[in-house]
Amino acid sequence: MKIIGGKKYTVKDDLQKSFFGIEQYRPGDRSSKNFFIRLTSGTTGGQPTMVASQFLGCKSRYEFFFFKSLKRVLTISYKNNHDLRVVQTYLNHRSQATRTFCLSKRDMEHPLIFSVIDDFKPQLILSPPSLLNVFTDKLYGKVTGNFPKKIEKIHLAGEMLSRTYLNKFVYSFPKSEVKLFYSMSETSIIGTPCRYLTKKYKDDKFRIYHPVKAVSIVEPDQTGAGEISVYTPELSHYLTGDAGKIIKEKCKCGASETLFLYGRINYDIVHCVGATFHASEVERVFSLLGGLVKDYYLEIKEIFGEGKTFGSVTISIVPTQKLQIMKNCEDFVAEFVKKHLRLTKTRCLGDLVDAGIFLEPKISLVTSLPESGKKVRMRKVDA
Amino acid sequence: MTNIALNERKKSDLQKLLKKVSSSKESGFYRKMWTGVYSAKKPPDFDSLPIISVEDIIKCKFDDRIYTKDGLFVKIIYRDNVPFLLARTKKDISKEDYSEIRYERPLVTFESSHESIEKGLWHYGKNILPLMAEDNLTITLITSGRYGIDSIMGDAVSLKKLSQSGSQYFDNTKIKNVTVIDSRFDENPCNFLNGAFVNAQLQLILALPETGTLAKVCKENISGKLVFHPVENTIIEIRNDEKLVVTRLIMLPTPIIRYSTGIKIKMRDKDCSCDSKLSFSLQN
Repeated sequence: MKIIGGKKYTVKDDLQKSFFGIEQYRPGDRSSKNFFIRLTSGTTGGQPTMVASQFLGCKSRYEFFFFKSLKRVLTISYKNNHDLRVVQTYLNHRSQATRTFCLSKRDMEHPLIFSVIDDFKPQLILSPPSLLNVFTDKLYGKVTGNFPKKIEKIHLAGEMLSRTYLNKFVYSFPKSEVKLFYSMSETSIIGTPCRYLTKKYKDDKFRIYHPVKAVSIVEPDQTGAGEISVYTPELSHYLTGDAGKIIKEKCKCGASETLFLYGRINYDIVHCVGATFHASEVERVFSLLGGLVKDYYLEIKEIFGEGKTFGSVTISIVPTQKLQIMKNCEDFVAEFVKKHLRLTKTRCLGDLVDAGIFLEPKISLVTSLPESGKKVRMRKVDA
Repeated sequence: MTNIALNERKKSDLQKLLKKVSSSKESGFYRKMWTGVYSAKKPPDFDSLPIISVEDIIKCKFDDRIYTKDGLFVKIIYRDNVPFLLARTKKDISKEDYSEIRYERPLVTFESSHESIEKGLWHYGKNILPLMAEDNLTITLITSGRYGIDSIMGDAVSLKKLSQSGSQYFDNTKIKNVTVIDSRFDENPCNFLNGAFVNAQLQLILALPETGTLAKVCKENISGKLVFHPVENTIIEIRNDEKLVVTRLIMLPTPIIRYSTGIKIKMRDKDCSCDSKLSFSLQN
């Protein structure tokens, strides 16, 4: 729990210690049909988190928009609890008959999977951007049938969407409309996109939403930006770790609030080709190089090859004199970081380079790094 | 082919099923299979209907063999490494007789995520909240402990992994019920389950992903050589090569009528006090 301005907020650490919401569960009662276990898989070295929450139906037309979808839904999440929630919700709440098909990791690896997907004839894809990227890579050079041209809508959630991903999805599914929802595993949908917002804020269209839950900004700066807090019955006021701003403005769709999402508040997490850079983990590794590195900055990006996406990290180092006089010092730092920087539950950067998922890290020695009010040590950039 | 005599209720259910399938506006899959033995004027004679195989299902496009307009959960089945689609509805999933619900916090764990989701939906039909196993076993164990699971439903391979993982994450003695649902029982699962879950009632169910439940293990013969009783809403027949042919009397999105399962069985004399009149064992 964190107390800010006299108000209590739930934080992610709390979710690793307690199972929020489970006290509402009534075994044998009809309410159980709309009760779901939400899991996050657990950060590098951390515990998974669990929240039990009730789906109360679509209270707002914007939330209904998420379900006001077409008949044939393909989900790509690799998470059984998530997929069960999607299927159960669709079968319970869609007035029109829906067909829901959940793709697993095993399915994705099968050489005949695209003929099966073509047989299903999906109209809508639900996925986080990174998994849809993996799926799109697998389409490359394969006989896929007609289904990529028949996808009408793509609903993405769970991560930010880069311009390079967007271009790739639009190219691979040329008749599709891509929408990005602001959502977290532990809270469900927080904000939905709107075509009027898209027109109004063209350049920022994937960072702007109408909130569908009660949201507020904690410790706003002079511009009104701060950490986004969302209220759910299970978590009460929950600090998301995301930075944003809310303005009151009437929209043609009827909404009265617009939420701007800026990214992680502490730039503490960057996702890249299924791996996760945690600021604390990066800090830990560079602390081991304390006598050699005065300061550092990571630029992380995804590089698209033919049918494959590679992760890439460029590290700018302000060296100490000791490192400067070392022979092949860049190679030394590169090998050290590869060996020690953990990016998944079981693999370091070096493992991901060996597996062809990441390119070799690039190290450049600099005399100084840009000064900023907030020390930002890593960022994801578009390729 | 050995036909098993049907009671009056099963005969009536069978006639209703055949009439519904032969006159369906949603699909002509079976009418095509029954060309020559089917007439629009009267329901087909069951004994004259051809045996269908998994290849017949795979050859037919998914949409062309769906007999319902209801919402569908669509899954992939792999047969000899060839994937194909099959569907279930909420209604027909709820008719599966997997287990009596004497528990509140089940873990569902199958090698196939599709089977896991289907059994998860079955629990929702009973107003029970299931926890699904994920690919990562450690995450599954941690979340099982946090949820406080009191029962487990899964296939033999998944349950074996779970039973060997030790009790550091959850209290194995609190498990009241373990249901094994599988299409093969090369080894009696009781051999590894009894030691791991000492207070659990064990149930073994023979099922195929495309047919659903076919038979349950006789409770009086659970520890030794496994003997099965067919479930109520299923008709079993045995081909001359000892392979099991089944007809499910529930209306599935792709109905199962004289379907060759590929499972080799041997009929046995009944030597238990169970209600079912039929018993069989599996042959490897």
